[in-house]
Amino acid sequence: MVFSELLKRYDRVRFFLRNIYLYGFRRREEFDELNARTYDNERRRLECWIGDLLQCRRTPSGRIYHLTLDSRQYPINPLYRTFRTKSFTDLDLTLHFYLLALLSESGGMTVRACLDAIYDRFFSEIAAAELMNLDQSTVQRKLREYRALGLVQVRKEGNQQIFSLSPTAQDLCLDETPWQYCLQFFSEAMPLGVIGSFLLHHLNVQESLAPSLFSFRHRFYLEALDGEVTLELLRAAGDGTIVSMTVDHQELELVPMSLAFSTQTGRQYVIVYDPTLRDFVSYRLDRIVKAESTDTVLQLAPLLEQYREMHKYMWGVSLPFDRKLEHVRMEIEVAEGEEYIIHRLIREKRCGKVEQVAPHVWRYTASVWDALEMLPWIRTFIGRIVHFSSSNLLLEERLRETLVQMYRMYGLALDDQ
Amino acid sequence: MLYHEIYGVYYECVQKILNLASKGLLTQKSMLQTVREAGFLHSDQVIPEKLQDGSWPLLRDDLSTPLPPVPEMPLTLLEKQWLKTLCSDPRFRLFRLEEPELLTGVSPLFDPSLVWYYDQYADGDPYTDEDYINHFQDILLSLRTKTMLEITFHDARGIHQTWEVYPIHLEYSLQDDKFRLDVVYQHQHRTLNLARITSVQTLSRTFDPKLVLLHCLQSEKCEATLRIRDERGTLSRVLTTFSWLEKETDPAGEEGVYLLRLRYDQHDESELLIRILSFGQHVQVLSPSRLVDLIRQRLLRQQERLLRPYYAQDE
Repeated sequence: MVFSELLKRYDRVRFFLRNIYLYGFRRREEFDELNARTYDNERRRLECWIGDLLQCRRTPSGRIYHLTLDSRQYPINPLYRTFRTKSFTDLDLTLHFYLLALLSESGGMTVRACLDAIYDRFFSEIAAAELMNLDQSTVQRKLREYRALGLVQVRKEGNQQIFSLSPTAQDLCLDETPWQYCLQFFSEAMPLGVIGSFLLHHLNVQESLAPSLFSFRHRFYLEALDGEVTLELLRAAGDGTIVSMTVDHQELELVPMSLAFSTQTGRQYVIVYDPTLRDFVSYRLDRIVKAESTDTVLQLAPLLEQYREMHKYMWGVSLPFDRKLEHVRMEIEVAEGEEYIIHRLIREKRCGKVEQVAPHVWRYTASVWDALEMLPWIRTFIGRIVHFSSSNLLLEERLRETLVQMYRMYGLALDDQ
Repeated sequence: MLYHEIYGVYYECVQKILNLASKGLLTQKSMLQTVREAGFLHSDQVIPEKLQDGSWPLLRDDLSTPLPPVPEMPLTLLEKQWLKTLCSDPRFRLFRLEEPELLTGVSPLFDPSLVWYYDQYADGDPYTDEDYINHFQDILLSLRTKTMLEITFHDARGIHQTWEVYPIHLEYSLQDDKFRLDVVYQHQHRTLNLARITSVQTLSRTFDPKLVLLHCLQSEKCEATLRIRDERGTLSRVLTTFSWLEKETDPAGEEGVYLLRLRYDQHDESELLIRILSFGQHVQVLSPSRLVDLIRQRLLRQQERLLRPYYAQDE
């Protein structure tokens, strides 16, 4: 088969790109999930799309392709470009430009008038055009598709349907400079920013626009790869529809309640109601192979009430089946001039209470469903903790284990006490 | 539908080619140049050929086109809905724009409250505060016009300072939910929190952005080497967490152990330290020695504190 830069389905590139970007140390032979030919094609495609950003390291055991980016250096997520790679037929592309040109010129046409104009004005002039074998139903199908996409609108005149073009970015005045900056910003700072990047392309504001007025810190480019799943889940969560999901080879029917994104670790989850378990569960978006809305709509109000109540005690996305509140108490020492530590506690605490209990000691208390989830945050206060206790004894044990192992790791003497 | 050919690079290339053709400006050379600029690496081997072999019958043999001028592509419903959601975001007010009238009746793509940033810091910037918006606007203008700024702000200790600066760019962090202004002040790369700025004066002097960028490039980059023990999915968590930085990973030659080299700005070291600590015993800093020492100091202080409870000191 001839190599093509374009792809039919995005999910093919999702796995490969994530692996190259996130890990970046696997050689061709180590991609067990892909045969050698598929690996070569995916790698070559990626080279076509993002060019020099894909780097190659030569090691004694072979070449390793990887992708590494400092988010502050790119005003627009370079991975958005991978969404502009969908394959199409010759007819798709040709009809697209025929219809756009005709509808723009006329202000509105019927399907029949479009077909006649194509034959009279275009096919009569361009060699080999008659090979397209175009008929009325094909034009109608394309116009219906474009209507669903929102590119064209339809009005009735008598018993005829007149198709016309929808407004452009210029009609919305998006070509004005403040809008361009606004779109640049939100393309990187709002979910589904890839759509903003499409808008920037309408306005001819390219990825290469540099230097940009904005830069982005803690920007996790990989989120873009889950765009299709994100879109489907957000729509379903808004409509209350059941979604049919494929997660790690499992087929599930679930009701999305909300999306939960980590701004610190880049992980993205969906919190769903599972009608079979009659409970709320969370799934990582990158594990969801496919998500499709069904026609079944649920009455969300009672679920939302339950969800809001449960939400109050969630530290992250963990929702143990045996749900009992667990309590945590941590006291930390804050020396003179270290008030920024108190600010840290207050701004990072998510839930619970912060209070001063001694001249230089501040106490944090909280009740959550899964106290173990707090361990990474608690560890960030190592060096200041003067007291720690939890109703979850495993958490206490894990913190102790962290300290013991870290003392060993850094060659510090262990005190028997 | 997010993955659709109408958003594709090939459609964009053909649109540009047809624009040239309808103005009588299309030549073999300009066609190739257009594709090379807007297309993918090998698009120049596909698009010109398809346009001339009859596969995409849009051009005459002389590279003119019988098509009337092709308009800019209309906005799709998806794009309009995304814009509608954007207009409801509190940060939208920073740009002093109004929701376009043509979006009336369009439903938002999603309700922003359905997205929960569960670990976002709680002290985000005051996006609806008029003074804050004015400062944002003044800074945006100076970045566009390359003019210097006189900025008065209160620092972390609450002391008021006034600096004349060359602005570089506005940096945004979703984690902090804050804007920071990167500037050059007295030949040094510095960062100012927008929320701490109390006044912004645009000066008449302009600057050469290349010189300013040079300062940024000179800002010291450090490299840290971390040893990761991959237990309970630690490797994936660590690599995702640091994926916004330049990094390189390799197996360490021991089962389940990896080496990660990270490039970071020196002024990000405190934050890096906190993130590394959050992984506990699963991540060990091997270098630089400065970072190793900082962790050792933290551990020593911790050992001392647990052995000497604060209530004993108070007695």
